Amino acid sequence: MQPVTGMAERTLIELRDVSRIDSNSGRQLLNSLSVTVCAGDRIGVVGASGSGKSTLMRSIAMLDPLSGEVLHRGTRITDDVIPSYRRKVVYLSQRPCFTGGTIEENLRLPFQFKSANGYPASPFHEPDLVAAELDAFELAPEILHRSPESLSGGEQQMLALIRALLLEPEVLLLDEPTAALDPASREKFESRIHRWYNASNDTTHKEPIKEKAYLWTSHDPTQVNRMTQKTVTMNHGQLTLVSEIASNTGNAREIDSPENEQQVDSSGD
Amino acid sequence: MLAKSTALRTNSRWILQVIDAQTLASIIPKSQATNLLGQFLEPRPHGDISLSWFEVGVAATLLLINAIISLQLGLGIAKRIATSSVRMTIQLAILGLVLKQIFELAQPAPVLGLAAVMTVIAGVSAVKRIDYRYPTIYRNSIFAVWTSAWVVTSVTVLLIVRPQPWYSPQVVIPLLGMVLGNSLTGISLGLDRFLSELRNRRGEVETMLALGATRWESCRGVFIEATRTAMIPILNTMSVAGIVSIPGMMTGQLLAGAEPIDAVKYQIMIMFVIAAAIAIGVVLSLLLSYRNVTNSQHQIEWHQIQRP
Repeated sequence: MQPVTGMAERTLIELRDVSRIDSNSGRQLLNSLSVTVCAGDRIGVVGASGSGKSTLMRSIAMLDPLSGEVLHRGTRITDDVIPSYRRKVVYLSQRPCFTGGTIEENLRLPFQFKSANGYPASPFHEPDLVAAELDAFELAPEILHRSPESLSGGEQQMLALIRALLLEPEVLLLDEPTAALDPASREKFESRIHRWYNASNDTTHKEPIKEKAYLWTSHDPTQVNRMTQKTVTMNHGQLTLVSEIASNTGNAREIDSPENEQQVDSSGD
Repeated sequence: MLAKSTALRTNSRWILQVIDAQTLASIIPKSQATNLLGQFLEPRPHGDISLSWFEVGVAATLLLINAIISLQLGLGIAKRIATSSVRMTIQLAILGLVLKQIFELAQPAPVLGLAAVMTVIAGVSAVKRIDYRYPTIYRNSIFAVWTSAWVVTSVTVLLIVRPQPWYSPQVVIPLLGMVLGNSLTGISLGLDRFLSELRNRRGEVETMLALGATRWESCRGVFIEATRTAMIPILNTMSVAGIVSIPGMMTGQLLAGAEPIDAVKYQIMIMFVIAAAIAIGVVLSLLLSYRNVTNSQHQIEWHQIQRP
């Protein structure tokens, strides 16, 4: 990779020729994919079940063994920085999972990991921050003392998002995050993501610089239109279609996708 | 499947453990065989612990009653009781013959050879009961059993018991058998718990990884739980020893006419030795397994963990 300059500096993540083969079945789950995620990107990932959407998301977070390269801000991610990379590029699964203990213990947990070194201390030093997060979802502070099993699926998913946001990530990988939510919860979830995304706008500059990005998989086309400005379609482990949604109008415009080199590259926007 | 694993478990336990009481004890006294049926009900002289086959048969009858009840109630375990009993009898008979040969030879090579065979069988048996396995599990289990049992047995034989010569089969084989039997149980329980719990808590483990945990941080909870599970039997045994149960080896020594205090000292020593072997074997096997199912990229290689 060439030294990063100008435009390329906004490249957050780059996947180069990434393939993943299911070791048991020998099935190719990802077929030499190349994907670039830039600051400010809001990418919708669509495709049939089993087309590799989740695999792509997990691969960006480096949760599965892969071949190919993953670069973060132009640098190859070495083994020892993978945990801190995952703090910045957080994968949120469709089914939220918690460890034993209370919600508060769960929210504190990531700040006890070694990769938390060099980060600001646990947000619980600033109770207002956590309270504000809970408030955004109309959750009472008492919920902190409850156990995860006693919560509804919707509440769990919101808390999983809060847990992720407390890490102050730069990229969120949202894997069908609202599939199990009722419409009201879904709306709250979407608006929180929206707020997180826009909070990165540095208002002191004339032109707002977006520092964050997210990928969102969904089976709901209206949600994809609503939440993302670009769509990639997965089919049998390959990106078959890359389209851009013109802002606000919701009209999709197709972009040519060469067969051998699928690129999602927003640097030419 | 279940029947098979139970039979194998019984089998290995018998080979490795039951010899402790008999051999350790029976070596000491020499008494005239009481093979005649007529002598069966006569009071036996003090310190005579040899049995006639008829007397063994009386014990078998007790199990026969169980088998009949099982047949009556349709519990479906009569066949398993029968096969396990027959297997056990044949295995122990063979063991008796092998031990007789080796005791007579009294050479280091056959003693170590038998010890090696017992160790490998223990390593393989430890895996038999495990639901989820990964490809190199046999290698790891044998290595863990081997290292833990041989280190501990060596210390016991060379520093504590100090027989002449050091390879005395009467000491080495039963001691190793006892250590192996316990170590394999611990390793088996620990590995089974570690792998099944890792699978059950997959979501939890992956969530931690996704939030920046290292592979060790994500597996630590499962690891600790597996260690704890593996140590429960020996801790239980230690806590009720002498109150609820009188351990097998001590029973053997008492039957053979040993002084209670001597038998107790021996038993205490053996308990420490066994607990140490279990702890070493369990931690070793779990560490090897942890290394095998995770990689340096802080990923869990889920595809490796499979039902056989």
